[in-house]
Amino acid sequence: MATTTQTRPPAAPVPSTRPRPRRRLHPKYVYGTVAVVVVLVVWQVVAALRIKPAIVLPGPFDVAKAFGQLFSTDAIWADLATSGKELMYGLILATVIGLPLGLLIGWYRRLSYLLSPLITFLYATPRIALTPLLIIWLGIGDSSKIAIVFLMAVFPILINSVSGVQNLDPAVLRVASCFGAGHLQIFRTIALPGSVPFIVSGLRLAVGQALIGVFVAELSGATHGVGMLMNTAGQQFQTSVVFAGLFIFAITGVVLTGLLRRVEQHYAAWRPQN
Amino acid sequence: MRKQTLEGAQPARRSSDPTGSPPVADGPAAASTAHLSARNVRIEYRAPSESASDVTLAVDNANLELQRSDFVCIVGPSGCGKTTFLNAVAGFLPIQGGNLELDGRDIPGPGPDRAMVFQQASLLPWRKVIDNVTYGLELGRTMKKAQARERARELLDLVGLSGFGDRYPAQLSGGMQQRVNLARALAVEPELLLLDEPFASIDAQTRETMQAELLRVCAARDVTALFVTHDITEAAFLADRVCVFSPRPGHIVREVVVPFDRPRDQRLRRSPEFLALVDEIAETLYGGTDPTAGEVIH
Repeated sequence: MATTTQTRPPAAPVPSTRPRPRRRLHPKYVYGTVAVVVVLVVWQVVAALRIKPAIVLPGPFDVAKAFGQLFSTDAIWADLATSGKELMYGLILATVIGLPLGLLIGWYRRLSYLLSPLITFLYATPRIALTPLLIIWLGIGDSSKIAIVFLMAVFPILINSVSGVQNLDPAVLRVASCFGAGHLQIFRTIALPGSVPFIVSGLRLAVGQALIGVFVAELSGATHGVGMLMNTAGQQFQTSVVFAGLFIFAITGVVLTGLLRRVEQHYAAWRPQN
Repeated sequence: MRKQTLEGAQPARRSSDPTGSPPVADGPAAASTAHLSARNVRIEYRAPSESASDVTLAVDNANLELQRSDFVCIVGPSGCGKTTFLNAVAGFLPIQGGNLELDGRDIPGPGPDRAMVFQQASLLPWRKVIDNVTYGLELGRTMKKAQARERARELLDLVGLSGFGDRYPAQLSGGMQQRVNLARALAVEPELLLLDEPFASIDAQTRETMQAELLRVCAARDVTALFVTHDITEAAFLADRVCVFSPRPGHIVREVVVPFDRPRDQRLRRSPEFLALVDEIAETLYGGTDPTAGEVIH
């Protein structure tokens, strides 16, 4: 049954070598930088005009000065460490619990029937409103704060993990079972890698929620923390310090979501359309 | 629809009479030496949401035999149960009656001795092409990774994708993805290759090329293949025998032996003998109601 055909084998398409982006700045960055600079300038001008006193609206230079003062003492490091610890513990706990639970809920339909009313209830609740309860139950120490951060962060991770597994391509699942793959093998080779983009998106959303949690948690009875620092500064009308704290939160969020966005884009490479 | 209008047109090609009785000469009871043997197979299908009484009889009284190195095509109107039959051979669906045996043994479920080429390439998008080809071997856990990759590379050469191993599926065209799909199925060295309209979603020109490529690959690897399609010319070009399925509940109304020598080349498609054969299959399929080939070959 030796067979050759007279048709030419289809010419292998020449790999398209996309022209590499040139060293020039992408318009995205140019426009973005311009916008930031304009806002800073307008802010400085408005502040310098002293329409409102500096105690109400400090300018960017005042904020920068406040930054300098903050970091000239050791106290700020204790605040950063405390808030950082709350953020990281909360996020890690949310990942450790939300991720596997979400994968299992996505995998076992009965488990999702069982848990979805609870999840829907908690997801629809403004979870930050549970703060008083958590303080009653866990005290005003670290544990209640970590619990709040956890509650804020766990749902984006959980829900994205669930939809990651539930949105697996059934055709790909069929391929695996066609090759005789067992449940565990399908989970490991299809469900896990297939839901990674969803999970990373969930983590990115969780960072924003966790930062809200950190701030709110520190409003009620904290000894250290950036949120507490802002709260105290606000009560003492150190407005520029409030701004400085705000920027610490913002920069943390930008850096963490930026890192996760890069991970996300790495995995988006194999997505049909990102 | 069972009308057999072409009595005596090319009787030599008949291997079964038109009443749909088993092509097996010895009847259902005889022990078969065939590689794949289906006797009076009956498959019911129930959609998961439907009630127990709401069962569709998809395949009834289907009879088919495949020897090793056979290339058999199943054609039939859409919804006739031909894919259901293939799924039963793959082990995805249980049969409710008759015998379905592979090398004399019942089919308990999916297994590495049968590999399926799906209509959609269904590649794992997060794996590079080469890792897609080794996927079946990886699940089987019988082969070292380096060895599996070596085989995958050979298969990629065979299907004309040398040098594409490090691409991701999303970077390939539909036709190329389908080649990977084929290579992945061949990698496990299946005893029976099952193909479910693998070229249905590929443009016409690429499809003709792919059909010739498939024949070349099957000859090179001495593959036994069961190929489901609704495209009569495709079936006639590829197969040693074409089994024509009736509308649901599907059974094989006729087996047409394709007499053309191998290797076959694209010119065969234009030959009068080929067109006459296509016509004949079409008449069986459509009961002679619409003999215009242009209508039946989509």
